[in-house]
Amino acid sequence: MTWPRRLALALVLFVSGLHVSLAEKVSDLPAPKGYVNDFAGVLTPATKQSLEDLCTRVDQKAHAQIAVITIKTLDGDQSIEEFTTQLEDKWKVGQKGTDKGLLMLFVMSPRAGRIEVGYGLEGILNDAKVGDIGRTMSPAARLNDYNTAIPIGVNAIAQVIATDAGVTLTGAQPVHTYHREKVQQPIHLNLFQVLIVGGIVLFILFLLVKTGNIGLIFFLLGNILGGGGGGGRGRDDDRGSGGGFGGFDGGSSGGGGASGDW
Amino acid sequence: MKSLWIALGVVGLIIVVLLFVGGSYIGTKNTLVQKNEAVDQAYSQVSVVQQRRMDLIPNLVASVKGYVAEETTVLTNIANARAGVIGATDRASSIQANKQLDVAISPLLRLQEAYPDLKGNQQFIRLEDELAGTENRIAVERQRYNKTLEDYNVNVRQFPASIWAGMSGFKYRDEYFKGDASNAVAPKVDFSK
Repeated sequence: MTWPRRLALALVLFVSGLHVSLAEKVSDLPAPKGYVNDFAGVLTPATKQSLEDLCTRVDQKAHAQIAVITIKTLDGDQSIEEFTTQLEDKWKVGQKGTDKGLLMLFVMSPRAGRIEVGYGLEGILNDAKVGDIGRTMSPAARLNDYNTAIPIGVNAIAQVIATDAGVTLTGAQPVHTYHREKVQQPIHLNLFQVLIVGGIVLFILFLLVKTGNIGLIFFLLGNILGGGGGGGRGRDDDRGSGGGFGGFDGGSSGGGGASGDW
Repeated sequence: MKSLWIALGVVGLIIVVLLFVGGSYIGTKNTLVQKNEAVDQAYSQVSVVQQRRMDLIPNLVASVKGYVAEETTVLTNIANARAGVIGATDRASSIQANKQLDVAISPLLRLQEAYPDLKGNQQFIRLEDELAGTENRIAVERQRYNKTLEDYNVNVRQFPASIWAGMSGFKYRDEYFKGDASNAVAPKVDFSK
């Protein structure tokens, strides 16, 4: 074996070794596929489906988004609080502006749970109430019976949200609404148009200088230079809008909620 | 004729340079105004959660009074640190006072280890949730504040913005929330007791 080959092999081994670790990191988690993301694989399909239905109803009737996440273990020295806040920063559960979002995270080993409450729900779900809900889940969670524990918690939270919004979650099937987002067409210009626009700009500049409004030019130029990079920010995620889940909508949280042994 | 063209060219060049300099000055100044506001906004968010903690302390202390001896150092330390926060006048001293409160309040979260009776106290458990949640909020908002401040400071110090920043009176602000210095020392574990 020649030297470069050995080096390459060592490098490959080294890099692959880095990825072997089992712990979940926020940056490694895939995009959410629904309200329920069972990365640890502890939920039965039936439980998952009923939770998904419930969260869909909460989203459509009360306009609040609940995300349920299970993971196997946390990465090294990261606390469950840090993990949840980072995940919320990435997934943005809840609607932009109202921030009515909530994350329920369950870590399998060592067992830990956290409910992170978005800014918009802090008023109705204070930390003590969330802690109480967590404690109602803990007997089942301690027996590793997450198919019992998680629905208890999600139901309790959905109930609080629905009561506050003045809606009932049972009954009529949710109505799916589809909306297509407009795609901006790039503008095509020919040489003639460019010349005309350029001429107009030059004429305005000339006029401003002539009338002693040089300060205004600086102001305009400053705005153009200073504002560079600010434009062009639209929705930066593409999402298939099949079924009830249309992705999370840009909510944020400030570390409210409760953690515990559940 | 040729010299006229050269003169015109020089004048044109000067105008272009002036335009860019002026534009860069105004652009930088506007950006710094925005970032400066963002720092203050982030700090007000920190103040909100710190105030929340201040309001929570009397309730928590009241709920443990029946279980814990009145003169315990934990409660005295909290009372002193709280008074320090109330007495703080400017941002730097407020940051300092709140750091002392961080240290003073942390034993309160472990009080049920020393007083097992507290475990059964429903009110105490819920207040502990509130306190833990508040501490976490404070941590999150401080981290966001530090990030915003860093963004501002980088802008103030980077060339060429640093020239314009100096001219328009934007200074480097050393108002970060830093970890407690005593935490840098590893705790001593004594098994002989």
